[in-house]
Amino acid sequence: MDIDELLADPRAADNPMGFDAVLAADERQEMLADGERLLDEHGFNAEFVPTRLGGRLDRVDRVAAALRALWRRDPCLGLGYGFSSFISGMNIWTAGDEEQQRNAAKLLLDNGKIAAAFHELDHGNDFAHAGFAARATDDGWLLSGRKEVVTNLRRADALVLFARTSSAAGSRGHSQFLVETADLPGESVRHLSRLHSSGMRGVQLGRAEFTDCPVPRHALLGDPGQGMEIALRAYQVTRAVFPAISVGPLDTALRLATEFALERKLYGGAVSDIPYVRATLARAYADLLAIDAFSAVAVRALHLLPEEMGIYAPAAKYLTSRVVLDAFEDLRSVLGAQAYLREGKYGMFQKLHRDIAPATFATCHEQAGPQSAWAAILNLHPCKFASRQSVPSANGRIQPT
Amino acid sequence: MLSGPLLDNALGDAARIAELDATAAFPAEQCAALDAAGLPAYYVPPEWGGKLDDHEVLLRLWRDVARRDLSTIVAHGKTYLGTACVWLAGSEDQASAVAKAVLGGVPAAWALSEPGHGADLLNGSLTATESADGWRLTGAKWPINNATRADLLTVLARTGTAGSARGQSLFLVDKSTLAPGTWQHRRKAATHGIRGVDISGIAFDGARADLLGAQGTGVETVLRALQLTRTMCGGLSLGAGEHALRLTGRFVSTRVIQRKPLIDRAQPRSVLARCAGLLAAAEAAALVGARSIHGLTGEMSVASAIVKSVVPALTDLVIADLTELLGARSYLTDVYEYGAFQKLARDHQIVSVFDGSTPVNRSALAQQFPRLARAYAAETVDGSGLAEAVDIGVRPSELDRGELVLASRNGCSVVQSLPGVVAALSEPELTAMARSLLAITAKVVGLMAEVRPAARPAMAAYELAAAYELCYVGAACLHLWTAENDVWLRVALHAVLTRLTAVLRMPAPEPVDHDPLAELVADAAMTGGAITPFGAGDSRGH
Ligand SMILES: Cc1cc2nc3c(=O)[nH]c(=O)nc-3n(C[C@H](O)[C@H](O)[C@H](O)COP(=O)(O)OP(=O)(O)OC[C@H]3O[C@@H](n4cnc5c(N)ncnc54)[C@H](O)[C@@H]3O)c2cc1C
Ligand SMILES: Cc1cc2nc3c(=O)[nH]c(=O)nc-3n(C[C@H](O)[C@H](O)[C@H](O)COP(=O)(O)OP(=O)(O)OC[C@H]3O[C@@H](n4cnc5c(N)ncnc54)[C@H](O)[C@@H]3O)c2cc1C
Repeated sequence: MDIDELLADPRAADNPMGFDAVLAADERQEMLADGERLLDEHGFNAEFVPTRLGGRLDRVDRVAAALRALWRRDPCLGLGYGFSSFISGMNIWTAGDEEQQRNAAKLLLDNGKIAAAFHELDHGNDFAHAGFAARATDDGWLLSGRKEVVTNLRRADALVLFARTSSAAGSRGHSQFLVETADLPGESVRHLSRLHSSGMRGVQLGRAEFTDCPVPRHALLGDPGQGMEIALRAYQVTRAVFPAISVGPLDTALRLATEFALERKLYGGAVSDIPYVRATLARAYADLLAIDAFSAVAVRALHLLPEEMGIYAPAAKYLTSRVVLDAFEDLRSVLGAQAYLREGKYGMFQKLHRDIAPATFATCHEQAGPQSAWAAILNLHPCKFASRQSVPSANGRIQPT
Repeated sequence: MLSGPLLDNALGDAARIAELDATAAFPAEQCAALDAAGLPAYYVPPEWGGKLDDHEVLLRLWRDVARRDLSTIVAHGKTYLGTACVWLAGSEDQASAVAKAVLGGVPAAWALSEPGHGADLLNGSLTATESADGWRLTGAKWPINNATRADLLTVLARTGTAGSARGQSLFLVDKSTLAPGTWQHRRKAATHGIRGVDISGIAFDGARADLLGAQGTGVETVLRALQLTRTMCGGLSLGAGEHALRLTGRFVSTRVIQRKPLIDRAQPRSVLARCAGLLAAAEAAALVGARSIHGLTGEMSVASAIVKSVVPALTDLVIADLTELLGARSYLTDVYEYGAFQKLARDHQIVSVFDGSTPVNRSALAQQFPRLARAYAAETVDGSGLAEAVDIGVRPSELDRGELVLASRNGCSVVQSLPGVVAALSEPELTAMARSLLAITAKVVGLMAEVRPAARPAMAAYELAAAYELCYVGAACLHLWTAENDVWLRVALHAVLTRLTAVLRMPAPEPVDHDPLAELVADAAMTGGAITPFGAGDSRGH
């Protein structure tokens, strides 16, 4: 599937996937419904499902390219339709048993969504003191606590939940659970009002309070106490993919700035005649090419040099998120007033600028928690982490080496 | 005298400010409260009954409002920008009529930009024609702050040859006197930040207007007025930076990660201190710039361009670093002080665009390189003027507006006095940093001397301008340094040197101890104490 062909000309006025439609959805703080429908029709989720399970995921550079194309048009679709389910999926392919994997694959191939519910506002990176806990009972587990700032929490068909399962200190106190939302008794999960954000405005950031919510024993992903390890292994992949994705929004921003510079007349010539503008555009393009090259190597290294990923992934991540944001700042100085308007021909620029902002959040630290899996899309700093390296095998399943 | 605390109370609560932003509603109650508190008097010079006798005071007042809500002061403060040309070029009758209106709370606008022309002031297409009964305007201005709310507008219009320096004139428009059908508003634009502010436009079709100043002097008057208004824009950035630092300082002090508050960890501490240092540096430059309006009036073509570029740029950096530190709370609109951080970050991005964007100011500085290089080599310093410019908090001499000239004859005394300031220092660490600043400045000025003057300077000129701005900031820090503010200005100078060496691809300076400043800032954020060396406490406390 050629995503660009599917999304069609962004400037075509009647394109339901065009810039006008994308901006209008952003203003309404909604996902682009036509976009989601189109992606459903073309089974985009198959990109996240290993070929062994009926999907198209056999090489990480392929899913990175698909996601990049989506992010180039609309980062809200990129995250809210794409990356969120991809991250959840990576945790499941990493640790799920055969039945869990098959169910998750089916759900995704049927255009379902799986949310990754890791974050708690009060604890952030402080996973060891996270409040969300699972208590073992005779026939399963009871989940209690809050999850917040979770993409698609309310509308997802399934959740990957991160919960404390032991009060013992150390990294084995947490586990992951995979549950279908239809199976959760309504009275034990209270969804709180959606959270809103300055960018990614269409993405539904949910929060919910769980009170003794029963889940069956087989909801556990992997073994008890493996929650951190699974998250970090999945994170190996998702973190390597994000720099490649971030080229998408920068690509569009650069096109917008170039279009503006060629079109706008000033001082009796085109804005593109001004040496400052020429140099700024050229530098942003050089930045884009550098990130493209660097991230391509990082993504391919997942397959070819997995034992070196502990260096490549954080290096790519650290460098590229800063370069992307700096390039956006430089391009803003070319667009001037047009970078500040939410309307008009270049209104898309400020949206992309807001959407890409989280690239620097959530500094990941030595004892970084599972939020780091989310920091995969948000993290700036190089992380040291202790988990084993993993490699995606030909069938897309991530195996410890 | 009007004070920060009074303004703090006038603005009302953060929840309301967030709500206005979310619904893109104009901050009407807030502006009315500022009127009631008497802020408009500070936009009018004393000779016409106002209190604009000290631009340092105005800078501080703007900062005090901006640290609560940047949108409100961008809206309210536009009246100051909109009338600045009147005090420079208006007749006695015009000035007293405008003064009376402003003192009575009438908002004004400054209409320079046109849909097809932004920074290019010489090529505007709105035209003024003279007929038997006076001047008539035809054409449109957009995007203009206050275009719809304002009763008074100063408008730049073509009266001669397009593209020529004397082809434009300024006009004063009083909407209440216009014949119906000769003008109409253009609807409010949807903006990325300052969402509630009246950014709209106005189109004229034979509307009556009064010539302001002599025909053909429009651009010159605008460029002289911009020397004042661009400098005052520094107050907007200082307020936004202070707001960001207080919000993040409180978060870092109270956020416990692995049983330890973030402030007790090395990395967050150091980021907080570096940001406080950069903000203190920006404050030093803005204060010296504002006081230079009185002390070094003839040098404002340089100082205003520097302050307008570097103060927003440093503040943008501070906000970017603090965004990272604050994490999700920098992004969410409904948690943590009603999402105040993301709002101030969006609001602040306008400061580097309007009233002359950063590239425009850097090219204005580059045009003055030859003179700056010569004056640096000659160590030209206006000693008494400089003394007044750095004497923070002391009432300055009266501004002689006639001394505002298009190109400074003396260069820039703040930078050119650097050798003397450095020679007078004794404390080793500070002296070492000051010496590197001096060496770097000499290098930068040497490169500036090699830039050939051009209508469209090469990219290198913009980079040198950016470096020279930082030299100015460093010099301002040294001029203002005392044992009492050492905790800030030592880190400030270090942060400036770090940036300068990065820009020039030179080795970074030796590290300085960030801990004392981190402690001070965390404490000030919690208790409401002053968070910059020349800042005011926050009356709300915390
Ligand atoms: C919210 C808002 C409020 C505003 N309020 C007012 C107002 O009250 N009154 C008013 O008159 N205007 C107002 N403006 C307009 C504003 O002042 C202009 O946006 C600004 O002057 C720059 O013009 P421009 O963005 O149209 O860019 P242009 O002038 O079209 O320039 C385009 C680009 O060319 C480059 N460029 C231009 N000149 C140079 C140079 N010399 N050197 C190097 N590069 C250069 C820059 O990259 C610039 O971004 C407002 C704008 C906004 C967004
Ligand atoms: C658009 C968007 C979508 C999201 N979607 C999801 C989702 O689907 N699922 C989900 O679970 N989460 C999601 N998140 C939340 C995301 O995971 C968090 O924002 C991220 O984990 C950071 O947490 P925090 O902001 O609370 O920062 P904190 O962890 O509180 O960190 C704050 C600051 O403290 C510093 N810090 C933390 N620990 C240390 C330490 N040990 N040493 C020194 N400094 C430290 C950090 O560097 C940072 O500067 C989303 C966020 C956004 C913005």
